[in-house]
Amino acid sequence: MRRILALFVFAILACLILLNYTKTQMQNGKDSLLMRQNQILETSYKAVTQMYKVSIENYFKYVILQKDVLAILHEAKDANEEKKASLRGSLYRLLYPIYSDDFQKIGIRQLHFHTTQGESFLRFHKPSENGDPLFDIRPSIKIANTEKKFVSGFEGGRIYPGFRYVFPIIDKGEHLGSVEISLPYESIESELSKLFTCKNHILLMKKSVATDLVFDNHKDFFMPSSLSDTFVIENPKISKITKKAIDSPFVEKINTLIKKEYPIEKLLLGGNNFSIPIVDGENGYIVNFHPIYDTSHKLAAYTVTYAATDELASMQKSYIIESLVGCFIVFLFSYGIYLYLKQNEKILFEKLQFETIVSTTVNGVLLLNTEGNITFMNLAACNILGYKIGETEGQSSHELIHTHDSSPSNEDCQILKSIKLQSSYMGEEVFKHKNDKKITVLININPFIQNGKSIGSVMIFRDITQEKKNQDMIEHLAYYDSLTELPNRKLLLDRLTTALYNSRRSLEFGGLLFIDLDNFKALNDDKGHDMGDKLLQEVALRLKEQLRACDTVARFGGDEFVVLLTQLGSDEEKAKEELYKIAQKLLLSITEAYHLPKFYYTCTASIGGTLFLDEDTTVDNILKNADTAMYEVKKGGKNEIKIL
Amino acid sequence: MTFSLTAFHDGQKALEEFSPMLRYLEEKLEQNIDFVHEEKYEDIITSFKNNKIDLAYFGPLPLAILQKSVPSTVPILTFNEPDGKSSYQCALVKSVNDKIDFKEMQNIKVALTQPLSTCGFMQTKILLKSYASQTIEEMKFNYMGTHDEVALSIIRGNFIIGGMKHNIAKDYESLGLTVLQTSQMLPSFTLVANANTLTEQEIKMIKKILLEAPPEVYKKWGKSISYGFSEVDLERFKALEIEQFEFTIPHKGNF
Repeated sequence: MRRILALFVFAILACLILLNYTKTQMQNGKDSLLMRQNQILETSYKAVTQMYKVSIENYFKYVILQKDVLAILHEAKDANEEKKASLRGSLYRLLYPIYSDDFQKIGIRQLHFHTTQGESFLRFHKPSENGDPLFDIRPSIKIANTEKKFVSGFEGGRIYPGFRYVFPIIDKGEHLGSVEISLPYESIESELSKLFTCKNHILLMKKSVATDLVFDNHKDFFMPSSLSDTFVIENPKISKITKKAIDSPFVEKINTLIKKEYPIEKLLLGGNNFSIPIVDGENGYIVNFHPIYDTSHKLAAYTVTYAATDELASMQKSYIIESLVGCFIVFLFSYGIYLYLKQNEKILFEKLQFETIVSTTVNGVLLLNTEGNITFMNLAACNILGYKIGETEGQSSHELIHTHDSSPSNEDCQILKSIKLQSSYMGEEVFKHKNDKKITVLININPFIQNGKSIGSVMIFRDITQEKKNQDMIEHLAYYDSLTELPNRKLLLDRLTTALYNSRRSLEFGGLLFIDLDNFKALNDDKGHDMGDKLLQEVALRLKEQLRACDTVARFGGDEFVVLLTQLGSDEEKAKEELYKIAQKLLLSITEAYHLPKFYYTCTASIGGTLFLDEDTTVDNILKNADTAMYEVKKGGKNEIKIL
Repeated sequence: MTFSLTAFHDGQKALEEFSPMLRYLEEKLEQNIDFVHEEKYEDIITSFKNNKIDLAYFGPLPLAILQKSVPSTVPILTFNEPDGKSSYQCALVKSVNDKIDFKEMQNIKVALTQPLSTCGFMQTKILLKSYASQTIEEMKFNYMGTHDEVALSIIRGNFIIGGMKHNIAKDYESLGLTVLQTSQMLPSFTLVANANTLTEQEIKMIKKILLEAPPEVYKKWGKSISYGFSEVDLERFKALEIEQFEFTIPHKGNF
């Protein structure tokens, strides 16, 4: 859980870093685009204003400073009001053709003459309004008339703000006043739009150069801006540019977004170039703000351009796609790591499980390569075989630990076969201890498969030496009499069954003798059971000594012994005779004195016998016949032999 | 609500002149008033007939014509002149820089405002009678569109003589425009309402607001409407006998 949490935190952090990176990349792209746009606007603006400056200087030089104009101004300087009116009319009449034709063509709106005292002498754009003082509201006119130097810049006025070019008029050393040639923003925009493509323009003017300066009846030339409270825009009723922008739904929408998302008031008061990117769904826009300064180089207005661009939306889209793909990859990578760690953890667990099992199991475990060489031997195997950990690595398992009782060739070795053929084998084998002691083991060998390919074998074995011994002992106890070490009744019956079967097949008679010691009870009663047991052991030894290895003598119970004889020949008489002879030999052996502890003892026995071959004869019949014969001897006085 | 005027000034000047009053009305009425500037009186009359205009600014002659063709026309009040009276004069004007031989006037160029302007053809014809031996029809006349343009065309030297509103002519005295003759007193320009589009209540409200406007407010309005208002005296309009001119006014200049 902690690992998952750590991976999740890692994924989140990686995503955050990635998002930050892609956002920075997008921002850099945007900044670069905005800077480029703003530079184009700035360059275009400078080109347009410079072009106008050159044109206007020429008009001043060749139109204003002409002889007739100067004559009027000379005369007006000291004229009374009536004369001035006449001269004003004459000046208007003289220059009106060029004002209405050439000036209007290049976009000049205002041609304005001023007196040396800074009063309006003649406004061509508003001829009926003159005589008003201008020095207080028009620094450019004051500078031109007091410092007698040319002044240019954006400036407010009584009628309308504009781009002013104010020239002092001096003729033959005499100062005659000044003249101002002004351009409306529309003229600048008209030329600007030829160099800088955008959808809409707006002139954003500070109130201090607009509504604060104009005559009261001109205040409606302006209206509030939706971008700022300290700036106004031109009234769309007098400005086609503003009307176009105001009528455009997207300009109002963009302005609303700007006001909502950017500190526009603060940016505007900064007085610097700046651009704002706006992405609205699939559409991208760049709004450029280029500051316009007044004649004293203070911020007066901004030319604002609204340009559509596909690049912004494309950048935004790329940012979103890159972020999503990046995050997806990060999460995929994290999931991969998670799976790897989980798998690793599983492998480690399995390895631990394996190591625990292998190290704690009592079974020996060997890993063998395809050549049968040992690559791993566990502690149990080391203990069983007498080696130290690591001592056997690289050695041939067959040569080191395997032995064959009958020394078969390597080709017959089941273990080597299994390794060679990559097959499974389970069975008992004999290994040898480091000290050459033989160890019986039960082995299970299987191919060691990795990635579908055998890379060797796994051998698991168990030391069963003691088990084998225990098993032999149990078997012995089950089939032998513990007192005399003779086969017991169960083993005798097994062998009699086998002997009967063999006799029928070989057509040779077998024989069975039933021997019962005479008066054995009296010995037990007089001398104790120990003596009785001792006698039985002695009798057993004497009977075994008299018989062939292929014959069987068994203790049938108490003081009863049964002797099973085979291969007595196919002639019944001869077989019977042979059986009798053996019985005699056995009786003789029994009747010899016994040296029991503290005394000698002699005893006799009653022996009954029978032959068997007949297919109809059964084990029970044979036993019954021998027992019957023995019983007849008992009835006849004992210490005799009777063969039926 | 829509307000319209013409003949008086060009579009920009009209906006300067009338916007403060319209803003004042908007504020008091609590509703927006759109400003529509028409080039000709005929266009305003057509729009008025089609109920596209609610309020309009008319001189005596166009008002008489409007009332005749649009019975729903309701004169609300008249705008006072600079002397505070609700009457004005037309003037015959020339430039001090031009000399006129009044005996040889047949080639002289006469600047007029509009055919249906009171100070246009109608009053200029009357004023010229006492100066020239020829009638206006024998001279070269043309319509300039506005009173200001009449003044300026004379100052520029494009026309020698012209007819225009007297108080506007005074604005151009500083450019050498001089008044030769003034007309009889005429009822001032009138604010008219369209009873088809405005309710009686609304008309009464507009009239009340303007009549009660304090001087410190209307003095800041455009020069030609900054002297207050008076009730409409319909009898003075009848006395002008405008009907006799209506069908003799040429609608185009003769050169």
